[in-house]
Amino acid sequence: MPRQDLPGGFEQIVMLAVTRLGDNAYGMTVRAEIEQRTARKVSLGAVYSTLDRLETKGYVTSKQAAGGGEREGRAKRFFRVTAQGVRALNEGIAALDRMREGVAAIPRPARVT
Amino acid sequence: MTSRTSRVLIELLPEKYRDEIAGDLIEEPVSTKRMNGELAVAVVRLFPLNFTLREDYDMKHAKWIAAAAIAVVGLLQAWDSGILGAPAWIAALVVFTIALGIAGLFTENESIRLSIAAIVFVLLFVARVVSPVRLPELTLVGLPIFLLLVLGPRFMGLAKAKSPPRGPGTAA
Repeated sequence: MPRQDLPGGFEQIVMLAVTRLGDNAYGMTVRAEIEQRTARKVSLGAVYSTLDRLETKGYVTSKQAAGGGEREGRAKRFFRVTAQGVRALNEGIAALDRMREGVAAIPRPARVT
Repeated sequence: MTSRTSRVLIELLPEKYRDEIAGDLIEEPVSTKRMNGELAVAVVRLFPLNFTLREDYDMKHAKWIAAAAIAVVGLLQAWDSGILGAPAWIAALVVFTIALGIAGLFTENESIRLSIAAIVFVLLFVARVVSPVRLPELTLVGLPIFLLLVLGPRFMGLAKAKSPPRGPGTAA
């Protein structure tokens, strides 16, 4: 049984958004990706506080980069999911799947192709 | 262009993400009202990060010594002012004020630190005014808090700048 902390629901969503965005994952794009895919409003504060928590756990790393004129020169912070984060994310999703198995009221959704 | 309210809220964000969050909201075309709303939520959600210690061992050590100094000098001054003769809630207010001053030592955010220094004096003044017992010297409790919150970081910064950097190759 792995002892690693399983990421929570919103943490999983944020990590998936960071993974999907690849090299372009910073606060605003992560928020936009989540809002577009979940059709839910998300505050930038919630995104950054979750990313900070994930970084403390070692699930993501961040790197500051200089900002351009479109942001009045303010820095950007790019995030990347670590190998430990990928393992934790897979574990979390697998645990959910195992919990859902055999529960008739919550069937597994059809795979999107 | 950011509004005055936005600029104040940006100052209250923890230093680690201040530029990033402000930049994101400038880059994203949002109204001033929405920007202020987003900033207010971010200030609340990320507030604990203002109290995360990121200094080296010496700085942490100095802060704990300053905290002890505020507690001891503050409580002694409160006792000397005759706080023991005042109602319990006045004493509790003074103790809360001292604790607030100590909390102020552990923030890297200058705006929050200066706000705490001001709030400390306001609370002590209120306690002095509303107390049924005369406490003429109560506001002196705020003096060590003011000195350590407002002037302390400047002296620590100067001391740090003067001391040679430690690292590999530095003589022990």
